[in-house]
Amino acid sequence: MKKSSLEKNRRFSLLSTLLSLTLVFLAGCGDGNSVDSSTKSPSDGKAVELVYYFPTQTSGPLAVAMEEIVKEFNAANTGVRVTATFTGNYDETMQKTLTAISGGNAPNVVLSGYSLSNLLSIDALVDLNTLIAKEPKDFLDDYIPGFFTLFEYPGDLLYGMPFQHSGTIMYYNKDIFKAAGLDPENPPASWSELKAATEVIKAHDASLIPFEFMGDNWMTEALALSNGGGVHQDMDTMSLDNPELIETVSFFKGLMDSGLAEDNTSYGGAAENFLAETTAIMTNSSGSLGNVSKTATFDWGIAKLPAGDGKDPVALLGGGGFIIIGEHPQEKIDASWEFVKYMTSPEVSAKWMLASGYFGPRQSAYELPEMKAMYEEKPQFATTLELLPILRSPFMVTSHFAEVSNTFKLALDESYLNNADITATLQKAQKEAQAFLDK
Amino acid sequence: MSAKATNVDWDKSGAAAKRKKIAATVIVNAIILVVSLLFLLPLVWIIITSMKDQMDVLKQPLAIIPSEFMFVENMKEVLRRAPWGVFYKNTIIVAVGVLVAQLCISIPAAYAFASFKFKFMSFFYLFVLARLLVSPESLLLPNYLTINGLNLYNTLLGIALPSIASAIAIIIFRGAFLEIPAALKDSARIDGCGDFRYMLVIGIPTIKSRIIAFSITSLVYQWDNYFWPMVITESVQKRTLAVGMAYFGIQAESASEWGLTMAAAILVVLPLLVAFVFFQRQLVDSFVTSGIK
Repeated sequence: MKKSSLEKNRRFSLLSTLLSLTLVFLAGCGDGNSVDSSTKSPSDGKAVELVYYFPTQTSGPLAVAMEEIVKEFNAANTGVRVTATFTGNYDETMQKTLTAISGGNAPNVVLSGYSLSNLLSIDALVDLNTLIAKEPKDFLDDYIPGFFTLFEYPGDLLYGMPFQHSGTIMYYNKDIFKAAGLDPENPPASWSELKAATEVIKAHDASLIPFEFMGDNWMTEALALSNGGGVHQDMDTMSLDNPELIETVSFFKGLMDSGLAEDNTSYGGAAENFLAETTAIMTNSSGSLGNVSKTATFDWGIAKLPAGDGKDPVALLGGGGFIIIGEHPQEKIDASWEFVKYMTSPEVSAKWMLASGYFGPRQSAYELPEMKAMYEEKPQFATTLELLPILRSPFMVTSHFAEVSNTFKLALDESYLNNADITATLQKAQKEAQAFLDK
Repeated sequence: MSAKATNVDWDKSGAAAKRKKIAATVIVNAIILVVSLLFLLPLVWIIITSMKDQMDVLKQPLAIIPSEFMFVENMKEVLRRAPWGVFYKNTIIVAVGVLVAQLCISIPAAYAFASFKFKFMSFFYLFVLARLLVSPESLLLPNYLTINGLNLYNTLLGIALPSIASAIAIIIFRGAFLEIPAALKDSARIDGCGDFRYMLVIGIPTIKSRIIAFSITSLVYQWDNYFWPMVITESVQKRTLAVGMAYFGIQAESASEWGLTMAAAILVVLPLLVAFVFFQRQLVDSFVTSGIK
């Protein structure tokens, strides 16, 4: 490089280097002291602005339906304006919510799954009992009590309002039942009936999968509860080695080993096999109802999960509800509560049930003419109402939910897929899971 | 098989060599054809599936001809469910904007690293290299805080800004500038060409192929980017195509609507595909004639 141009070069190079480095680090680093924009001063006299995150967990035009419902709310409530934001699935919604809270940009209302431990660990949520206390005494009378258990915590705390719920359920193909010589109006209700039915189906057509179930935590807990067992005693004590659970896993593993059943890890995948008529009976979420009912070209029915012989069937509850994020002025929290009350009103509840196939939270919604007409037209949906009295909440623990769940899941995979000794595997899982809780 | 081998052993005349050459060409082309078909297959599958109705997808997943052509119906439903026009506009603005900004910043920076000697040069270059070691996931929160602090939450600039400084572009272009023979620069200098002009008039055309190759990667990356645009935006008016795609293919609690999902995938892929077919000649040219040397 010639000396004469060195000076110019140096200035040029420094400039371009600095410019690019600034941008690299602007992109790469945050200083952690970002402006707290969540406390933007409430607009004077104007509508209170709320941000609402919603995921969709089932296929169908649900985002469109949700945006319409929010639009109607905005039209009817001049004092509040809600921006509805689609945020992927439950997990992505949780991640976006956590990021937004850390960034001081917290949303006001989130439609969330029931696993709230991340948000509770940063104390982000409003205890809804404090808001319910301001309502008339009979406020909760029309809400179905069972759904609240998903959001209740020790110390009389309530962090969510139920909105969209599903339960574990059995779907079966009536056409295949008829062809195989089984009574299509009499689906298997007990394990021995299930085993007999799958044997008949296998004998009728060896290319069919007689029965598909999910060897995951949720479905296994449902099957174990339907055998008088369970997976935990209380929020501090797991019970992964109780005899009823071991019996449950052993029974379904036995069906697999005899070629009568398959463990499908994906609820959607099982539903697709069922719709393609390669599977005769499946366990699934009632959240699949909308899709199955829209797509199936054959006669099908639903029933409670088969129970252990002589035991009562149980349906395990799932789904999501509204949570209200706390880091906002009271005015916004009150407006959020108005919005949540609207979203859980019988009319909106019915609208959402029709759009999604989920259970809504209001008793009177099921009595509305549009719901009655739907039950008339789709008798399978009416059958789901039989689940309401037998719904139970999935296990919840006070701490280390992710680790405990993971331990349980690994033990199930070992048992169902790797032919491990079931009793020993579950006993080991119990020790590990309990160790997390005793920490 | 053995006949062929002995055939080669027998005769080593010129004609045989020629035949051998032809055979080699045929074999090479056959391999290329098979490999390109493999790459093409997913795209063909997207198109086939987008024409099927849900039951058709599930019952005859391998059928090439749909039992009923549902493409128009599927596309209508996909268009009804999301504001694709808004998504297109935003995606084009972000992808093209990011690319232009990336080139404006990284080309001069790369040129500086390649051509000048200045204090702490290797130190600064180390910073650029270090940027490559940081995974995008770990930048989610810091980027969010920065963008939010700059009041750029829920803006297109907020989506674009973190991608504008590209370490990989600086590294690629620096390498390309270093490959230009020194003699070329010396002769330009003798003719009175300054650094800036040299970079614009000689440097950039010389490394054109690398710039185009980087541009394609950058465009495709921004086009497909899902999680960051989803996290940093809030209103539908600021969202991009990949977020629109997420309205479909949901499988958490129900079977996916594959026909619709694939129709949506076509909407996302089509503009890029058309652009690449359209510019194919220039692209291939630029890859073949990489550097004058």
